[in-house]
Amino acid sequence: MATTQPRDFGFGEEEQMVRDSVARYLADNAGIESLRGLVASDPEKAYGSGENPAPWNEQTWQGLVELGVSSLAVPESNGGAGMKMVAVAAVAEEAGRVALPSPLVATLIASCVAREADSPGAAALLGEIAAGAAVSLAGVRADGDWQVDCDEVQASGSNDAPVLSGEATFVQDARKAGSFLVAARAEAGVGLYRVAADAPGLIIAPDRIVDLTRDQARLKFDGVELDADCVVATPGQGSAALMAALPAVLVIVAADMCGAAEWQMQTTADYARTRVQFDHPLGFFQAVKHPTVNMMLDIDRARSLVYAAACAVDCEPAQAERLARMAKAAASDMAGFCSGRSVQLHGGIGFTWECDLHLYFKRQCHNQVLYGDAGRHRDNLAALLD
Amino acid sequence: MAIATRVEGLRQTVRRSRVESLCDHPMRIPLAGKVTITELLQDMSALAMEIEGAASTLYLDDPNAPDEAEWVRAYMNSYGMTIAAGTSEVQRNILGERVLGMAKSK
Repeated sequence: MATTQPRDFGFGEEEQMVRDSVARYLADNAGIESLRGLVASDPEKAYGSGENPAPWNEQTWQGLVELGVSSLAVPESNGGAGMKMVAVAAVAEEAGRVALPSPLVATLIASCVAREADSPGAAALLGEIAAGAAVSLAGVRADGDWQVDCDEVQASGSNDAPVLSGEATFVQDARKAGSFLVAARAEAGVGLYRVAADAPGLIIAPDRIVDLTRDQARLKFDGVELDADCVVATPGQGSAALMAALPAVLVIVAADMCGAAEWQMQTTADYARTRVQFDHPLGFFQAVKHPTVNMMLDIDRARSLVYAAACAVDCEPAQAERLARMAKAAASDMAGFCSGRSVQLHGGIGFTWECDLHLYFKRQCHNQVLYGDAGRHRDNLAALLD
Repeated sequence: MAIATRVEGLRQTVRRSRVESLCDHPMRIPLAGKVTITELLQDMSALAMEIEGAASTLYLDDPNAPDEAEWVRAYMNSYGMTIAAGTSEVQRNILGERVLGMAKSK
Protein backbone atom coordinates (compact mmCIF):
# COMPACT_ATOMS: atom_id res chain seq x y z
CA MET A 1 0.00 0.00 0.00
CA ALA A 2 1.40 3.39 -0.93
CA THR A 3 1.87 5.56 2.09
CA THR A 4 3.04 9.05 2.91
CA GLN A 5 4.21 7.99 6.36
CA PRO A 6 7.91 8.13 7.22
CA ARG A 7 9.35 4.65 7.74
CA ASP A 8 10.46 5.45 11.28
CA PHE A 9 6.95 6.65 12.29
CA GLY A 10 8.45 10.15 12.55
CA PHE A 11 9.78 9.12 15.94
CA GLY A 12 13.03 11.06 15.94
CA GLU A 13 15.48 12.40 18.48
CA GLU A 14 13.18 15.09 19.82
CA GLU A 15 10.33 12.64 20.42
CA GLN A 16 12.70 10.18 22.05
CA MET A 17 14.01 12.91 24.35
CA VAL A 18 10.51 13.87 25.48
CA ARG A 19 9.60 10.23 26.09
CA ASP A 20 12.78 9.46 28.01
CA SER A 21 12.56 12.53 30.22
CA VAL A 22 8.94 11.70 31.11
CA ALA A 23 9.89 8.07 31.79
CA ARG A 24 12.70 9.19 34.09
CA TYR A 25 10.50 11.69 35.87
CA LEU A 26 7.76 9.11 36.44
CA ALA A 27 10.22 6.43 37.57
CA ASP A 28 11.52 8.87 40.18
CA ASN A 29 8.19 10.32 41.27
CA ALA A 30 5.48 7.77 40.52
CA GLY A 31 6.97 4.32 41.12
CA ILE A 32 4.99 1.31 42.26
CA GLU A 33 5.63 1.92 45.98
CA SER A 34 4.25 5.43 45.81
CA LEU A 35 1.28 4.20 43.77
CA ARG A 36 0.51 1.49 46.31
CA GLY A 37 0.80 3.97 49.18
CA LEU A 38 -1.40 6.44 47.37
CA VAL A 39 -4.34 4.35 46.17
CA ALA A 40 -4.09 0.93 47.81
CA SER A 41 -2.91 1.49 51.37
CA ASP A 42 -6.20 0.22 52.73
CA PRO A 43 -8.99 -1.75 50.97
CA GLU A 44 -11.56 -0.31 53.38
CA LYS A 45 -10.60 3.19 52.34
CA ALA A 46 -10.53 2.36 48.63
CA TYR A 47 -13.87 0.57 48.39
CA GLY A 48 -15.52 1.39 51.72
CA SER A 49 -18.83 3.14 51.94
CA GLY A 50 -19.42 6.34 50.03
CA GLU A 51 -17.52 7.45 46.96
CA ASN A 52 -14.06 6.31 45.82
CA PRO A 53 -11.46 8.59 47.34
CA ALA A 54 -9.57 8.50 43.98
CA PRO A 55 -6.41 10.05 45.42
CA TRP A 56 -3.69 11.50 43.23
CA ASN A 57 -0.43 13.28 43.73
CA GLU A 58 -0.89 16.90 42.70
CA GLN A 59 2.81 17.57 43.08
CA THR A 60 3.65 14.92 40.49
CA TRP A 61 1.08 16.50 38.18
CA GLN A 62 2.60 19.95 38.71
CA GLY A 63 5.97 18.48 37.79
CA LEU A 64 4.51 17.15 34.55
CA VAL A 65 2.97 20.55 33.84
CA GLU A 66 6.36 22.20 34.37
CA LEU A 67 7.96 19.68 32.00
CA GLY A 68 5.38 20.81 29.42
CA VAL A 69 3.88 17.34 29.23
CA SER A 70 0.27 18.32 29.86
CA SER A 71 0.33 20.72 26.91
CA LEU A 72 2.17 18.38 24.55
CA ALA A 73 -0.80 18.19 22.17
CA VAL A 74 -1.59 21.91 22.32
CA PRO A 75 -0.42 23.70 19.13
CA GLU A 76 2.51 26.07 19.48
CA SER A 77 0.32 28.96 18.32
CA ASN A 78 -1.75 28.40 21.48
CA GLY A 79 1.25 28.32 23.79
CA GLY A 80 1.70 24.55 23.89
CA ALA A 81 4.50 22.24 22.83
CA GLY A 82 2.77 21.26 19.57
CA MET A 83 4.48 17.89 19.55
CA LYS A 84 3.72 15.13 17.06
CA MET A 85 1.13 12.51 17.92
CA VAL A 86 3.87 9.86 18.13
CA ALA A 87 5.37 11.80 21.04
CA VAL A 88 1.97 12.11 22.70
CA ALA A 89 1.49 8.33 22.28
CA ALA A 90 4.90 7.65 23.81
CA VAL A 91 4.06 9.80 26.83
CA ALA A 92 0.67 8.11 27.29
CA GLU A 93 2.52 4.78 27.17
CA GLU A 94 4.77 5.92 30.01
CA ALA A 95 1.74 7.07 32.03
CA GLY A 96 0.22 3.61 31.58
CA ARG A 97 3.47 1.91 32.55
CA VAL A 98 3.26 3.45 36.03
CA ALA A 99 -0.60 3.37 36.09
CA LEU A 100 -0.42 7.07 36.83
CA PRO A 101 -3.38 8.57 38.70
CA SER A 102 -3.56 12.02 37.10
CA PRO A 103 -5.60 14.11 34.71
CA LEU A 104 -2.84 13.76 32.10
CA VAL A 105 -4.65 11.38 29.74
CA ALA A 106 -7.91 13.34 30.05
CA THR A 107 -6.10 16.60 29.32
CA LEU A 108 -4.25 15.20 26.30
CA ILE A 109 -7.57 13.94 24.96
CA ALA A 110 -9.33 17.26 25.55
CA SER A 111 -6.47 19.07 23.76
CA CYS A 112 -6.82 16.78 20.76
CA VAL A 113 -10.53 17.60 20.50
CA ALA A 114 -10.20 21.34 21.13
CA ARG A 115 -7.45 21.76 18.51
CA GLU A 116 -9.87 20.42 15.88
CA ALA A 117 -12.12 23.42 16.51
CA ASP A 118 -11.12 26.83 15.21
CA SER A 119 -12.65 29.51 17.42
CA PRO A 120 -11.76 32.06 20.10
CA GLY A 121 -13.29 29.64 22.64
CA ALA A 122 -11.02 26.81 21.45
CA ALA A 123 -8.00 29.11 21.65
CA ALA A 124 -9.00 30.09 25.19
CA LEU A 125 -9.33 26.46 26.28
CA LEU A 126 -6.02 25.45 24.67
CA GLY A 127 -4.41 28.47 26.31
CA GLU A 128 -5.79 27.32 29.63
CA ILE A 129 -4.21 23.89 29.13
CA ALA A 130 -0.91 25.48 28.09
CA ALA A 131 -1.03 27.47 31.34
CA GLY A 132 -1.30 24.23 33.31
CA ALA A 133 -5.02 23.55 33.68
CA ALA A 134 -6.38 20.02 33.74
CA VAL A 135 -9.32 19.59 31.36
CA SER A 136 -11.58 16.64 30.77
CA LEU A 137 -13.99 15.86 27.95
CA ALA A 138 -17.68 15.29 28.54
CA GLY A 139 -18.92 13.84 25.29
CA VAL A 140 -19.48 10.13 25.57
CA ARG A 141 -22.73 8.32 24.89
CA ALA A 142 -24.45 6.54 27.78
CA ASP A 143 -23.08 3.23 26.44
CA GLY A 144 -19.53 4.59 26.76
CA ASP A 145 -18.81 4.75 23.04
CA TRP A 146 -17.26 7.72 21.30
CA GLN A 147 -20.08 9.91 20.16
CA VAL A 148 -20.39 12.69 17.68
CA ASP A 149 -24.18 13.07 17.89
CA CYS A 150 -24.49 13.68 21.62
CA ASP A 151 -27.93 14.65 22.87
CA GLU A 152 -27.71 14.00 26.60
CA VAL A 153 -26.69 17.57 27.28
CA GLN A 154 -28.69 20.31 25.59
CA ALA A 155 -27.62 23.83 24.75
CA SER A 156 -30.23 26.58 24.53
CA GLY A 157 -30.02 30.33 24.16
CA SER A 158 -27.84 32.27 21.73
CA ASN A 159 -24.16 31.70 20.98
CA ASP A 160 -23.48 34.80 23.07
CA ALA A 161 -25.18 33.36 26.13
CA PRO A 162 -25.66 29.60 25.84
CA VAL A 163 -27.26 27.67 28.67
CA LEU A 164 -26.50 23.96 29.28
CA SER A 165 -28.82 21.43 30.84
CA GLY A 166 -28.86 17.66 31.04
CA GLU A 167 -26.38 15.03 32.17
CA ALA A 168 -23.04 13.91 30.73
CA THR A 169 -21.78 10.40 31.57
CA PHE A 170 -18.38 8.69 31.86
CA VAL A 171 -16.37 11.86 32.36
CA GLN A 172 -12.78 10.83 33.12
CA ASP A 173 -10.86 12.23 36.08
CA ALA A 174 -13.61 14.78 36.63
CA ARG A 175 -12.57 15.52 40.20
CA LYS A 176 -9.06 16.41 39.05
CA ALA A 177 -10.12 18.74 36.25
CA GLY A 178 -10.36 22.52 36.44
CA SER A 179 -12.51 22.76 33.32
CA PHE A 180 -14.59 20.55 31.09
CA LEU A 181 -15.01 20.42 27.36
CA VAL A 182 -18.68 19.57 26.99
CA ALA A 183 -20.49 18.32 23.89
CA ALA A 184 -24.07 19.56 23.88
CA ARG A 185 -26.85 19.55 21.34
CA ALA A 186 -28.50 22.75 20.21
CA GLU A 187 -31.08 23.19 17.47
CA ALA A 188 -28.41 23.62 14.81
CA GLY A 189 -26.48 20.52 15.90
CA VAL A 190 -23.78 19.54 18.37
CA GLY A 191 -21.60 22.28 19.82
CA LEU A 192 -18.62 22.15 22.17
CA TYR A 193 -18.48 24.28 25.28
CA ARG A 194 -15.90 25.18 27.89
CA VAL A 195 -17.30 24.93 31.40
CA ALA A 196 -15.35 25.67 34.59
CA ALA A 197 -15.55 22.94 37.21
CA ASP A 198 -16.92 25.44 39.71
CA ALA A 199 -19.54 26.94 37.38
CA PRO A 200 -22.84 27.61 39.17
CA GLY A 201 -25.39 24.93 38.28
CA LEU A 202 -22.80 22.25 37.51
CA ILE A 203 -22.84 19.25 39.82
CA ILE A 204 -20.04 16.67 39.64
CA ALA A 205 -21.49 13.35 40.77
CA PRO A 206 -18.68 10.78 41.14
CA ASP A 207 -19.26 7.22 39.91
CA ARG A 208 -18.18 4.33 42.09
CA ILE A 209 -15.63 2.63 39.85
CA VAL A 210 -13.42 -0.45 39.92
CA ASP A 211 -10.24 1.29 38.77
CA LEU A 212 -8.36 2.83 41.70
CA THR A 213 -5.98 4.84 39.52
CA ARG A 214 -8.53 7.32 38.21
CA ASP A 215 -11.93 8.80 38.93
CA GLN A 216 -15.02 9.08 36.79
CA ALA A 217 -18.19 11.10 37.17
CA ARG A 218 -21.50 12.23 35.78
CA LEU A 219 -21.80 15.92 35.17
CA LYS A 220 -25.24 17.35 35.87
CA PHE A 221 -25.98 20.64 34.19
CA ASP A 222 -28.80 22.51 35.81
CA GLY A 223 -29.07 25.55 33.58
CA VAL A 224 -25.36 26.38 33.48
CA GLU A 225 -25.03 29.86 31.99
CA LEU A 226 -22.04 30.51 29.75
CA ASP A 227 -20.78 33.41 27.66
CA ALA A 228 -19.50 33.74 24.10
CA ASP A 229 -15.93 32.94 25.18
CA CYS A 230 -17.05 29.48 26.28
CA VAL A 231 -18.16 28.38 22.80
CA VAL A 232 -15.37 26.10 21.53
CA ALA A 233 -17.35 24.90 18.54
CA THR A 234 -20.63 26.47 17.47
CA PRO A 235 -23.70 24.22 17.15
CA GLY A 236 -23.25 22.07 14.06
CA GLN A 237 -19.44 22.21 14.19
CA GLY A 238 -18.93 20.01 17.24
CA SER A 239 -19.56 16.63 15.61
CA ALA A 240 -16.88 17.21 12.98
CA ALA A 241 -14.32 18.17 15.64
CA LEU A 242 -15.14 15.07 17.72
CA MET A 243 -14.90 12.81 14.67
CA ALA A 244 -11.62 14.37 13.55
CA ALA A 245 -10.16 13.84 17.02
CA LEU A 246 -11.25 10.20 17.31
CA PRO A 247 -8.01 8.62 15.98
CA ALA A 248 -5.87 10.67 18.37
CA VAL A 249 -8.11 9.77 21.31
CA LEU A 250 -7.97 6.05 20.54
CA VAL A 251 -4.19 6.24 20.15
CA ILE A 252 -3.82 7.79 23.61
CA VAL A 253 -5.97 5.17 25.36
CA ALA A 254 -4.38 2.27 23.45
CA ALA A 255 -0.89 3.57 24.24
CA ASP A 256 -1.78 3.70 27.94
CA MET A 257 -2.81 0.03 27.70
CA CYS A 258 0.46 -0.91 25.96
CA GLY A 259 2.53 0.67 28.72
CA ALA A 260 0.49 -0.97 31.46
CA ALA A 261 0.63 -4.36 29.71
CA GLU A 262 4.40 -4.16 29.33
CA TRP A 263 4.58 -3.70 33.12
CA GLN A 264 2.24 -6.66 33.62
CA MET A 265 4.31 -8.87 31.31
CA GLN A 266 7.71 -7.87 32.69
CA THR A 267 6.49 -8.27 36.26
CA THR A 268 5.17 -11.73 35.45
CA ALA A 269 8.39 -12.79 33.69
CA ASP A 270 10.34 -11.48 36.65
CA TYR A 271 8.19 -13.47 39.06
CA ALA A 272 8.66 -16.63 37.02
CA ARG A 273 12.43 -16.07 37.06
CA THR A 274 12.72 -15.52 40.79
CA ARG A 275 9.90 -17.42 42.49
CA VAL A 276 11.07 -20.75 43.90
CA GLN A 277 8.66 -23.44 45.10
CA PHE A 278 9.85 -26.74 46.57
CA ASP A 279 13.43 -25.90 45.54
CA HIS A 280 12.51 -25.32 41.89
CA PRO A 281 11.67 -22.20 39.86
CA LEU A 282 8.01 -21.66 39.00
CA GLY A 283 8.44 -22.96 35.47
CA PHE A 284 9.62 -26.38 36.67
CA PHE A 285 6.10 -27.46 37.65
CA GLN A 286 3.95 -25.26 35.48
CA ALA A 287 3.86 -24.03 31.90
CA VAL A 288 4.51 -20.31 32.40
CA LYS A 289 6.94 -19.45 29.63
CA HIS A 290 4.65 -19.78 26.62
CA PRO A 291 1.75 -17.73 27.98
CA THR A 292 4.21 -15.01 29.00
CA VAL A 293 5.65 -14.99 25.48
CA ASN A 294 2.09 -14.81 24.13
CA MET A 295 1.59 -11.66 26.19
CA MET A 296 4.73 -10.23 24.62
CA LEU A 297 3.60 -11.05 21.06
CA ASP A 298 0.21 -9.41 21.65
CA ILE A 299 1.79 -6.31 23.18
CA ASP A 300 4.13 -5.93 20.21
CA ARG A 301 1.27 -6.07 17.73
CA ALA A 302 -0.80 -3.47 19.60
CA ARG A 303 2.20 -1.22 20.17
CA SER A 304 3.16 -1.23 16.48
CA LEU A 305 -0.41 -0.34 15.53
CA VAL A 306 -0.44 2.48 18.09
CA TYR A 307 2.63 4.12 16.54
CA ALA A 308 1.36 3.53 13.02
CA ALA A 309 -1.96 5.18 13.94
CA ALA A 310 -0.18 8.05 15.71
CA CYS A 311 2.03 8.55 12.66
CA ALA A 312 -1.08 8.58 10.47
CA VAL A 313 -2.57 11.34 12.63
CA ASP A 314 0.66 13.29 11.98
CA CYS A 315 1.23 12.50 8.31
CA GLU A 316 -1.57 10.55 6.66
CA PRO A 317 -4.99 11.53 8.04
CA ALA A 318 -6.84 9.39 5.49
CA GLN A 319 -5.50 6.24 7.18
CA ALA A 320 -5.77 7.47 10.76
CA GLU A 321 -9.24 6.19 11.63
CA ARG A 322 -8.59 2.70 10.24
CA LEU A 323 -5.25 2.31 12.01
CA ALA A 324 -6.52 3.83 15.26
CA ARG A 325 -9.53 1.51 15.41
CA MET A 326 -7.18 -1.42 14.76
CA ALA A 327 -4.87 -0.18 17.50
CA LYS A 328 -7.68 0.17 20.04
CA ALA A 329 -9.16 -3.22 19.12
CA ALA A 330 -5.77 -4.96 19.34
CA ALA A 331 -4.88 -3.16 22.57
CA SER A 332 -8.20 -3.93 24.26
CA ASP A 333 -7.94 -7.64 23.50
CA MET A 334 -4.28 -7.65 24.45
CA ALA A 335 -4.94 -5.85 27.74
CA GLY A 336 -7.59 -8.36 28.77
CA PHE A 337 -5.27 -11.24 27.97
CA CYS A 338 -2.29 -9.72 29.80
CA SER A 339 -4.39 -8.93 32.88
CA GLY A 340 -5.75 -12.45 33.08
CA ARG A 341 -2.41 -14.17 32.50
CA SER A 342 -0.48 -11.93 34.87
CA VAL A 343 -2.79 -12.74 37.78
CA GLN A 344 -3.12 -16.44 36.92
CA LEU A 345 0.63 -16.98 36.52
CA HIS A 346 1.33 -15.34 39.87
CA GLY A 347 -0.85 -17.97 41.52
CA GLY A 348 -2.35 -17.35 44.95
CA ILE A 349 -0.42 -14.17 45.64
CA GLY A 350 -1.71 -12.68 42.37
CA PHE A 351 -5.23 -12.79 43.78
CA THR A 352 -4.40 -10.71 46.83
CA TRP A 353 -4.68 -7.04 47.66
CA GLU A 354 -0.99 -7.00 48.66
CA CYS A 355 0.10 -7.89 45.12
CA ASP A 356 0.21 -4.78 42.91
CA LEU A 357 -1.16 -6.61 39.87
CA HIS A 358 -4.75 -5.72 40.74
CA LEU A 359 -4.06 -2.02 40.22
CA TYR A 360 -3.07 -2.68 36.62
CA PHE A 361 -5.77 -5.32 36.10
CA LYS A 362 -8.42 -2.75 37.04
CA ARG A 363 -6.88 0.08 35.03
CA GLN A 364 -6.84 -2.21 31.97
CA CYS A 365 -10.49 -3.24 32.53
CA HIS A 366 -11.40 0.45 32.45
CA ASN A 367 -9.33 1.21 29.36
CA GLN A 368 -10.58 -1.85 27.49
CA VAL A 369 -14.11 -0.46 27.26
CA LEU A 370 -13.31 3.25 27.30
CA TYR A 371 -14.41 4.90 24.01
CA GLY A 372 -15.51 1.57 22.56
CA ASP A 373 -14.33 -2.00 23.20
CA ALA A 374 -12.55 -4.27 20.71
CA GLY A 375 -15.75 -5.65 19.19
CA ARG A 376 -17.15 -2.17 18.64
CA HIS A 377 -14.05 -1.05 16.79
CA ARG A 378 -13.89 -4.18 14.65
CA ASP A 379 -17.52 -3.54 13.78
CA ASN A 380 -16.66 -0.01 12.69
CA LEU A 381 -13.62 -1.30 10.79
CA ALA A 382 -15.77 -3.67 8.76
CA ALA A 383 -17.90 -0.72 7.65
CA LEU A 384 -14.77 1.30 6.91
CA LEU A 385 -13.14 -1.35 4.70
CA ASP A 386 -16.29 -2.16 2.70
CA MET B 1 -11.44 -7.90 11.15
CA ALA B 2 -9.41 -9.65 13.84
CA ILE B 3 -7.26 -11.24 11.12
CA ALA B 4 -7.04 -7.98 9.16
CA THR B 5 -5.83 -6.30 12.35
CA ARG B 6 -3.19 -9.00 12.85
CA VAL B 7 -1.98 -8.61 9.25
CA GLU B 8 -1.63 -4.84 9.68
CA GLY B 9 -0.08 -5.39 13.10
CA LEU B 10 2.56 -7.68 11.61
CA ARG B 11 3.33 -5.17 8.84
CA GLN B 12 3.73 -2.37 11.39
CA THR B 13 5.81 -4.53 13.71
CA VAL B 14 8.28 -5.28 10.91
CA ARG B 15 8.41 -1.52 10.32
CA ARG B 16 8.96 -0.85 14.03
CA SER B 17 11.77 -3.42 14.25
CA ARG B 18 13.92 -0.97 12.28
CA VAL B 19 13.30 1.89 14.71
CA GLU B 20 15.67 1.23 17.57
CA SER B 21 14.12 3.77 19.94
CA LEU B 22 10.77 1.96 19.75
CA CYS B 23 12.19 -1.51 20.51
CA ASP B 24 13.06 -2.57 24.06
CA HIS B 25 15.20 -5.58 23.22
CA PRO B 26 17.05 -5.88 19.90
CA MET B 27 16.00 -9.51 19.32
CA ARG B 28 12.43 -9.21 20.57
CA ILE B 29 10.78 -8.60 17.19
CA PRO B 30 13.22 -10.53 14.94
CA LEU B 31 12.95 -13.70 17.01
CA ALA B 32 9.16 -13.44 17.04
CA GLY B 33 8.91 -13.26 13.25
CA LYS B 34 8.72 -16.94 12.43
CA VAL B 35 6.05 -17.89 14.95
CA THR B 36 3.98 -14.76 14.26
CA ILE B 37 3.91 -15.15 10.49
CA THR B 38 3.30 -18.90 10.34
CA GLU B 39 0.52 -18.84 12.94
CA LEU B 40 -1.12 -15.89 11.19
CA LEU B 41 -1.12 -17.78 7.87
CA GLN B 42 -2.57 -20.83 9.61
CA ASP B 43 -5.38 -18.86 11.25
CA MET B 44 -6.05 -16.90 8.07
CA SER B 45 -6.49 -20.02 5.96
CA ALA B 46 -8.65 -21.58 8.68
CA LEU B 47 -10.87 -18.50 8.57
CA ALA B 48 -11.05 -18.70 4.76
CA MET B 49 -12.21 -22.32 5.02
CA GLU B 50 -14.80 -21.33 7.61
CA ILE B 51 -16.12 -18.70 5.21
CA GLU B 52 -16.23 -21.26 2.38
CA GLY B 53 -18.23 -23.60 4.59
CA ALA B 54 -19.13 -26.91 2.92
CA ALA B 55 -17.31 -25.81 -0.25
CA SER B 56 -14.04 -26.16 1.64
CA THR B 57 -14.42 -29.95 1.23
CA LEU B 58 -13.65 -29.60 -2.51
CA TYR B 59 -10.03 -30.20 -3.44
CA LEU B 60 -7.69 -29.55 -6.38
CA ASP B 61 -9.11 -30.24 -9.85
CA ASP B 62 -12.69 -30.11 -8.64
CA PRO B 63 -14.33 -27.56 -10.96
CA ASN B 64 -16.46 -26.19 -8.12
CA ALA B 65 -13.64 -25.70 -5.64
CA PRO B 66 -13.47 -22.03 -4.55
CA ASP B 67 -10.14 -20.35 -5.38
CA GLU B 68 -9.02 -23.67 -6.89
CA ALA B 69 -8.91 -25.14 -3.37
CA GLU B 70 -6.08 -22.80 -2.49
CA TRP B 71 -7.24 -22.22 1.10
CA VAL B 72 -7.70 -25.82 2.14
CA ARG B 73 -4.28 -26.57 0.69
CA ALA B 74 -2.78 -23.58 2.47
CA TYR B 75 -4.38 -24.66 5.71
CA MET B 76 -3.00 -28.19 5.52
CA ASN B 77 0.44 -26.97 4.47
CA SER B 78 0.46 -24.35 7.21
CA TYR B 79 1.27 -27.07 9.72
CA GLY B 80 4.44 -27.73 7.81
CA MET B 81 5.39 -24.13 8.50
CA THR B 82 4.47 -24.06 12.18
CA ILE B 83 6.52 -27.25 12.65
CA ALA B 84 9.51 -26.90 10.32
CA ALA B 85 12.64 -24.92 11.25
CA GLY B 86 11.77 -24.92 14.95
CA THR B 87 8.16 -25.51 15.96
CA SER B 88 6.10 -22.66 17.34
CA GLU B 89 6.68 -24.19 20.77
CA VAL B 90 10.46 -24.15 20.33
CA GLN B 91 10.20 -20.56 19.06
CA ARG B 92 8.33 -19.59 22.23
CA ASN B 93 11.01 -21.28 24.34
CA ILE B 94 13.67 -19.26 22.53
CA LEU B 95 11.74 -16.00 23.04
CA GLY B 96 11.11 -16.74 26.71
CA GLU B 97 14.73 -17.63 27.35
CA ARG B 98 16.63 -15.19 25.14
CA VAL B 99 14.38 -12.12 25.41
CA LEU B 100 12.67 -12.52 28.79
CA GLY B 101 15.48 -14.39 30.52
CA MET B 102 13.23 -17.17 31.79
CA ALA B 103 14.60 -20.56 32.82
CA LYS B 104 15.70 -23.01 30.12
CA SER B 105 13.50 -26.01 29.36
CA LYS B 106 14.84 -29.44 30.34
